[in-house]
Amino acid sequence: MHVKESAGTVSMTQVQNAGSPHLEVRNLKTYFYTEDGVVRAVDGLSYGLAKGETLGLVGESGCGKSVSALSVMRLIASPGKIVEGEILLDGLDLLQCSEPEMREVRGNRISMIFQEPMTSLNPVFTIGNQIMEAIRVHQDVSRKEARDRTIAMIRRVKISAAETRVDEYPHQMSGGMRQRVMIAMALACNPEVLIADEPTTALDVTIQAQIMELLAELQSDFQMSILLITHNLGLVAEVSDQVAVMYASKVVEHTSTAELFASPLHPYTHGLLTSVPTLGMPREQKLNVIPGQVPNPLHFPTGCRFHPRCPVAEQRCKQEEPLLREVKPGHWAACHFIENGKSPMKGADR
Amino acid sequence: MHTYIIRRILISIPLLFGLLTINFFLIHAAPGDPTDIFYNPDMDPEARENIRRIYGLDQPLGVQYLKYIQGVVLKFEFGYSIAKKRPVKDEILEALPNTIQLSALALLLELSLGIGIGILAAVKQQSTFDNATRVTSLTFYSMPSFYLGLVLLFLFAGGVSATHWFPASGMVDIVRHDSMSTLGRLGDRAIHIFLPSLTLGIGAAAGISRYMRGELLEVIRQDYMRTARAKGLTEKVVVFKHGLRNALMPIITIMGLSLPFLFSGAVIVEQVFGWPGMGRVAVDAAFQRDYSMFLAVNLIFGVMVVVGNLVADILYAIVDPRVRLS
Ligand SMILES: Nc1ncnc2c1ncn2[C@@H]1O[C@H](COP(=O)(O)OP(=O)(O)O)[C@@H](O)[C@H]1O
Ligand code: SF4
Ligand SMILES: [Mg+2]
Repeated sequence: MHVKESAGTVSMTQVQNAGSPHLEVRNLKTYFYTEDGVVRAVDGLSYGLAKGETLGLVGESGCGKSVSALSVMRLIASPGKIVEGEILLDGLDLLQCSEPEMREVRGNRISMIFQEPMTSLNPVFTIGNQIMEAIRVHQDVSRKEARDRTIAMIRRVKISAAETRVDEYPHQMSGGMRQRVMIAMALACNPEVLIADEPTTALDVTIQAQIMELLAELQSDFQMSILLITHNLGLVAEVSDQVAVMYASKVVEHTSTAELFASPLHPYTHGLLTSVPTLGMPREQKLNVIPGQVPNPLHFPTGCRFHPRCPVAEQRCKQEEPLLREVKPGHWAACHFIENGKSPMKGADR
Repeated sequence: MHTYIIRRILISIPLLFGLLTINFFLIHAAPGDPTDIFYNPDMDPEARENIRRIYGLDQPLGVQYLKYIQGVVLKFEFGYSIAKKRPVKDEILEALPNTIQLSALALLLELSLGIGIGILAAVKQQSTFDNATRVTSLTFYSMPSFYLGLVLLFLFAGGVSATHWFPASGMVDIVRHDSMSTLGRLGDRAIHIFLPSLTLGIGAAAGISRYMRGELLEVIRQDYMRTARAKGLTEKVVVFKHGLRNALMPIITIMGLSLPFLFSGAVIVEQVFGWPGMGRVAVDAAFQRDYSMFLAVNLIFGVMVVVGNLVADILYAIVDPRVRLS
């Protein structure tokens, strides 16, 4: 096992119960070198995604979820740069791959779907053209064969009249339909890992449920591992096997979904869970009950990045950054004051 | 789409008719008349009235107008050029193809240079190439075409003997053209049209290249470009398939709108290079108060505007599936 001694660095190999993870991110750092300074969008991120499982990556808006996903795809453009870390896909370090090798991975071994179905498809090409393109770039098949597979794929994502819709343009479809098209495109080459970056955030609630149902169904058909990025804890509770909670560009807690919701150990997770709306709560009530502001990745607080907002912070928290460590079997957290698997927050165990 | 095109053409008829009417009364309101060119101080006023009568200029304006319009509508005749002493149509049919030839080549230069340079500058943003083309584009864009024409004439058509590569004027070598082989004649035409079309096209190309660069940079930031990369496509396919078509859409509109400007630019450039096209016809018509000729020239400009817009709309509909012409 490879462990660097810098703060926040840890191998997640042992997080998973079932062998080594399918996709493992170790101490990833992705910075943007802007005029205002260095934006540390991802800064010491580590997680592991087991084969065939779903890992929910949750955190407030701006904490680095999307940048971390694009880093895995190696799609970070200037002024951004992956400055450190390892991204292991079945042991292959993607950060050591050449660009042509990486193109073989994208859309083939790892696929991604995005938050904005309305703008993620090219408006001037038919959806069939765009799905077919994904097939033909990785597989040596004839146009006819690719088209047949495309139509089959459109059917798989439950779009009716696939034979005619294949020749339609994105603007002729609703947001939910377009997200189905995105899914068809992502799964066209039968990838091992699907990264879904807030796949339902832009959609109506009823459509959200349909899309998540579809993803779950396709996951078992295609035997794929899913990294589900979301800020919706309810969604995570429903579909994830494991959860990694991100705060200020790194993971602060990582464990099974059941464990996380039953006994959150990190004060931030605790705050998040108590901010989840419950049935019958007045509509006007503010959801985010964690006082203070999300830290700016240009200037993170010293020590524990959560200390300005943490209700149980002490002097040590301002100076010393806590490591992500196994605080109880299969449960990892980054806080100085988790002892004997007990949270420093009163009444945290529910 | 066919009905759309037909409807657009039908709509443009009253437009052009209005243009003709306004111009008719404007040019007649201007001081002087076409018989001025026959005038000399010793002339008998009686004789001058005679000439006016011959050309129908003595009749009331309303009658002249109706007669003119009648000719245009019923016979597709555009009157008689008093200065050139021949029907306007003959004169135009001789000059117009030459101008179209020049403008078409200039348009080709404008598009190929403009789009090519724009793409390279966007793909290699902030590179030496990008910075160099930014400066040169601005220079050419702000340079008046007659001045650029004179500079090119000086540099490549005689002013500097070491680089005297091109003829200074005309469409062909009047002395030797007829005795040349087919290939030789083609070459002769090519070296004659090169400098004038370059002069005409390069300013427009400079403009297009800046638009193209900006559009492509804007398109490169779009979400669907990220989707294309996430499929595992090469950067070339991402830029040229997914980017270019989207970035070209505004360029089509600009091109359509610039068509009449190209044409009026030709009028000036033709003067500099002694090109026997509409430029000379237009200038002569204005100075000689050659009413019918002047009206016909203006009508052609009107048609250019209509055609430019129509072509832009049609191309736009072809490139962008969201636009349905109906
Ligand atoms: N191209 C960029 N240039 C500069 N900063 C960026 C860029 N992309 C993202 N960031 C910054 O990185 C941080 C993380 O962004 P992101 O990963 O999109 O957050 P989220 O968790 O909401 O997906 C944000 O502070 C954002 O401002
Ligand atoms: S380390 Fe300190 S500041 Fe950070 S979460 Fe734990 S108690 Fe709070
Ligand atoms: Mg995001």
